[in-house]
Amino acid sequence: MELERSGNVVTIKGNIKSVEDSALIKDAIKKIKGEGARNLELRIVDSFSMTSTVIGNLMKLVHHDKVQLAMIVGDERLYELLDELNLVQDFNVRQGRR
Amino acid sequence: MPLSLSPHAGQLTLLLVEDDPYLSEFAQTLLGLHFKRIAVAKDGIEGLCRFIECTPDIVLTDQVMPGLRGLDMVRKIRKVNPRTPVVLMTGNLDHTMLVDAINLEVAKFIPKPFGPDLLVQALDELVRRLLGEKLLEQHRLQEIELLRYRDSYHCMQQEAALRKEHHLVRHDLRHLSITSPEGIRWGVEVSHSARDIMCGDGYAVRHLPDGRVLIFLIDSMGSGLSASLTTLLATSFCNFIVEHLYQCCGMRFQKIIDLFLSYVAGVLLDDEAISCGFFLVDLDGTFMETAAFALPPLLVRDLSGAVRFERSTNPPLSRYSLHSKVSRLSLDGVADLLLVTDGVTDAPVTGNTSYKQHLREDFQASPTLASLSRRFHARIADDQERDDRTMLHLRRLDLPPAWSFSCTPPLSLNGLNAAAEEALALLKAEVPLQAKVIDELELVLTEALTNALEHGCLGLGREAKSLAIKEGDYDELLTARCAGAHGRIQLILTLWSAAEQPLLQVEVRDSGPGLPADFLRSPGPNAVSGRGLKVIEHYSDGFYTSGPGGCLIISKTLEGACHGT
Repeated sequence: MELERSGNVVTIKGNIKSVEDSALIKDAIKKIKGEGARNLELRIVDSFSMTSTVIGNLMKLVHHDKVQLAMIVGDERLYELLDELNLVQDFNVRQGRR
Repeated sequence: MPLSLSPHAGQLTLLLVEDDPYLSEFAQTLLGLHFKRIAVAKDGIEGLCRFIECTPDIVLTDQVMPGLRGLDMVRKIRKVNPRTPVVLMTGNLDHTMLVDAINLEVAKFIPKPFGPDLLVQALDELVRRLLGEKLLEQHRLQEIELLRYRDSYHCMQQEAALRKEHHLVRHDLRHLSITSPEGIRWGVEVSHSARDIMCGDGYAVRHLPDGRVLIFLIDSMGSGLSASLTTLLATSFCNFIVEHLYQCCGMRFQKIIDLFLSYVAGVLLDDEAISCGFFLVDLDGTFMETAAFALPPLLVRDLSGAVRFERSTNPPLSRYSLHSKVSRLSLDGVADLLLVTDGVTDAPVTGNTSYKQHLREDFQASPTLASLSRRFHARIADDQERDDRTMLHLRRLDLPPAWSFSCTPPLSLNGLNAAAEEALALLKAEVPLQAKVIDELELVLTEALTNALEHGCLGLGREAKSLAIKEGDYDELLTARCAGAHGRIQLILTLWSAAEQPLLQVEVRDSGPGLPADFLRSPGPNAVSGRGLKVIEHYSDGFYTSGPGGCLIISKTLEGACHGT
């Protein structure tokens, strides 16, 4: 998995599936939050999934830290997972092209 | 004809457009007492303005006027309102004007000169027609309101009925395994989809106090409310037997069936029949007692993968059924069993056949219910006319492995990550896997191992974890607890290759007390933890928990893979 950051936009390429992937994303979110950001855009280009650790961190970001999140997901399977977990609205998820 | 208008004219507004002051005055005097209001204009342009201002119910207009003529005014009015009735007063009606008037839907013509009778008669007919239309419209609106009320009432009733159905269906072993005295674990999974909220299929999976499992499956013949009521009553009775009669008295299988027969005799109508079955799983004796009434044949797979049918031994149950045959099926050497209702076997398949012809083949290929469901849905054609469908799968979780891997990773996130990578590398060497399957397995392993570390070895409950995440010190907490932990995690992977598609079972054991019951429930809407098991369920064929201690057994069919012979 690769992660690129440009301002408050984080782009993730590859699958989010391991402990390492979760840690990388958590660190990036923590850094952005530490800089006082009030919004974050997460572009998940082609991951089919997301670990529960990342989901938990994003829930905290949205509901506890009140950071406005926008998420663009390229893989339909990830969208289905987030929809099944009733997170599409909370995470402001849109389906985007890969 | 008397010079009077229907009293309902008193509810209407008339627009009078006339350039002749004498005629205008005459009409106002004649009609003023009858209408609620008369708006007056002296030519077509003013008439159009008045029409827009006061939206009259009827327009009474002269044809020949300076500026805008009567029909030209009506043409503009029609652009605003195509329905308001118009009465045209004219002394000269030629062919062209007549066609024009018809096209503009002029309702009445009054030839000039005219007497008061003619004017009153023409307007009276319009007033009565308008009144009829108003009454119809009121009636229609009332009907719509009534339908809305009924619709909302019915929706409320349907939701209540659905809650009741969910309340009556009991699956005591959802995600929970049971263990035989020899230590062999079994699980029961159910797939149930209803055509309507009130459906004719029902089931119960009840774990009895003596360790046996009573499974009840019913498909009331016919459809609609009557069938669903029978199903609800029968399912309730089954629950009553388990929760009251059985618990206080204990009883033999035959006694349960006799009681049920006696009960349904009083519930069923003369022409009503049901397909149903009772299955009592006794792992102490390694057998299952069955009393099946016209259910589709039971599919049984042995440990070598061979599949056979076991037919129901009784006809459908009716109010006149007095006796039943009970049979006994040995579970020695049995890998799994499948029970279905006829909504599954009769489902239409592309090519004008039914799923009955494919069920055996698909069952042979599918070691799990999730895998079979995928095959079922891939085959069925038009789903418009579908019936209620229930599939119930009893399967052995400890299967003779064709390959296995086991390791005890160190208690750290990095250690768990390395264990998952090692396990997957060895699995890939054993059986060729698609990249998609490998990715899904890596995710499932990550979730299961993290779950065992946090909630098993480190004793982090859902609340403590949520609090730590919110406070931002979760990573520090995890690291600190890992350093002092003395627990143990074991990761075991096994492959079972007797079904046509290999079955991978991932077992993660930990030294903790086991998952609390609330972990099997969905987390709250804004909860920051509690979704790991949901993620596992989404990317696998399902999971079971087992004991003692923490133990998660995850199954995944390796679709498209080939292992051994």
